[in-house]
Amino acid sequence: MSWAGLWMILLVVSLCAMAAVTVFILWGLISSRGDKTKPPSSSSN
Amino acid sequence: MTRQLIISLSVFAAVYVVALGIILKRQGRAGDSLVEFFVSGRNLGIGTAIATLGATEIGLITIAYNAQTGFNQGFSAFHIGFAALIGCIFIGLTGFVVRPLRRTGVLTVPEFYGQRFGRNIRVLGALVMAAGGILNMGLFLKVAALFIAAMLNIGAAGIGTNTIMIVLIVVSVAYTCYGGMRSVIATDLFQFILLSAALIVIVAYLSTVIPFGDALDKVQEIKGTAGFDPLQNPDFGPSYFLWMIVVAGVVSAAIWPTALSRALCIEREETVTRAYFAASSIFLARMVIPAFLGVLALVYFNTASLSGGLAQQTLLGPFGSDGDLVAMPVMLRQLLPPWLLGFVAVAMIATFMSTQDSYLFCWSSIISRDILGPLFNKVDDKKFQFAATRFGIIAIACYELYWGLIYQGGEDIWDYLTVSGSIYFCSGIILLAGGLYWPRATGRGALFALILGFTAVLSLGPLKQALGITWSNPAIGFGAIALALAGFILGSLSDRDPRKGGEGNP
Repeated sequence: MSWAGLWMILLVVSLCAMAAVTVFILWGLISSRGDKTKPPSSSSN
Repeated sequence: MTRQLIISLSVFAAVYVVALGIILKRQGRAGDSLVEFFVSGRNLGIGTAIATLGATEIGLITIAYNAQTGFNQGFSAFHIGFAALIGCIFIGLTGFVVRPLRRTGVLTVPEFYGQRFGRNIRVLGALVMAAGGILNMGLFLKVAALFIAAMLNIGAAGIGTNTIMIVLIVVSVAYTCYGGMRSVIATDLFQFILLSAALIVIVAYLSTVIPFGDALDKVQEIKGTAGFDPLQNPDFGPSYFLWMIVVAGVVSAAIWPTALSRALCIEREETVTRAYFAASSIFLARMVIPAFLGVLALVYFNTASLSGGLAQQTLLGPFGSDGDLVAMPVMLRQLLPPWLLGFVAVAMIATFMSTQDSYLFCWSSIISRDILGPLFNKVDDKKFQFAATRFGIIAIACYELYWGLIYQGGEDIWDYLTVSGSIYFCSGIILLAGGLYWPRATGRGALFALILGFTAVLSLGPLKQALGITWSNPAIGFGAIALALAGFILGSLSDRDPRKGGEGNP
């Protein structure tokens, strides 16, 4: 694989990772709505 | 600034401030126990842990230095993110340092030094750690102010970077003092969402202006093979790549206290490695996405049809030697529509806050718990600890303001960060790994490692110049680690075996 190909893949992976974690946090925020004693997704564990 | 930009900026800034206020009100003031104040009650789940790791380690400074590297080196700058990915995956798979450290139940890293090597090493280790860490964050404020001023063209409106620095530091100090680690983590979540949205939207928008294929062709034309292949790039090479696996990967994730303190906040030990494994992609993204924006800035300033005939000198000239540092924000100012630029500016301020609060809190808690606490015998005195931490936050903020005004080093920001950080981590990696995995390690070995690891300070630009040192920074860094390791082993072996009882600590 060429360097350019590798960098392009890493860029796509990076963007997907940021989007995935954002969705994960938002999902945690929505699912823990009403819990006022802990950070929103700390109860997800 | 145009009227549209002022409106957009005002609206998004108002939304940001209101949201931050709601989050802080919901979280309330810091709890009244040390565990609550320093490690947020130690109840983080995996989702919060990943987000707070990501938000802490992606600051405006991260965006700025990676964009600068991308602008100067082209796509080959991406190898730093690749190295970070490799290093962080290694931590996620093995739990190297983070898992056994979480098991010890300590609140700060030097506290482990104290458990393992005695009180004196705790204090000395904390001093070295705080010196390296505070020096490391010395340029955060200045870079953030420069970045925002360049992006919004605030200088033209008569508002200097010093004014921006003061406003930024006052806000971050206020809420970090207010809520302790709890407020730091709570605001991290919100700030991560903002940052993520901004980066994705910027890349999507700019891809329509500068297609990826065009960027590849232009970088090839400007930089040649060195713009893609880090091993052929004279500023990088194989030793630099290896150094980056250590610095951007292993150290950033598992040794650097601001990241490591998150491992100490996680509720379950087994969650620690899972959180790090998942966060490895964020450690990749934090380097690669800003570097890509820097590459786009390189293309923009070298393509007349894009820059509308405005020469690089016209746009970047007023910033003098900081031209490469502000190339990316200046490009954003030129290419983004005002409504989007306002949103991006607020998101960038949020990323600054998310790193600033964590760093302020981390270093001040080390000063209060591991330097002042043991010296005044007040490690478990809650009132003293809370007051000392808050005082430390204010003192570090004042230093940051001062350092931002006086430091005139000539190196890239990333090189400055690795060099100043190496003052701590060249010995820190030995003390942590040796203390956790080598039962024969003693306080004398730790003392030698701390002293010898400090030789990493020789890679600071002004010091190198003064002493006429010509070695590369990776060579000095690896050399300092090797010296610290040798001192650690020889010092421990020359000391009484701690497993046989008796005094093994100085």
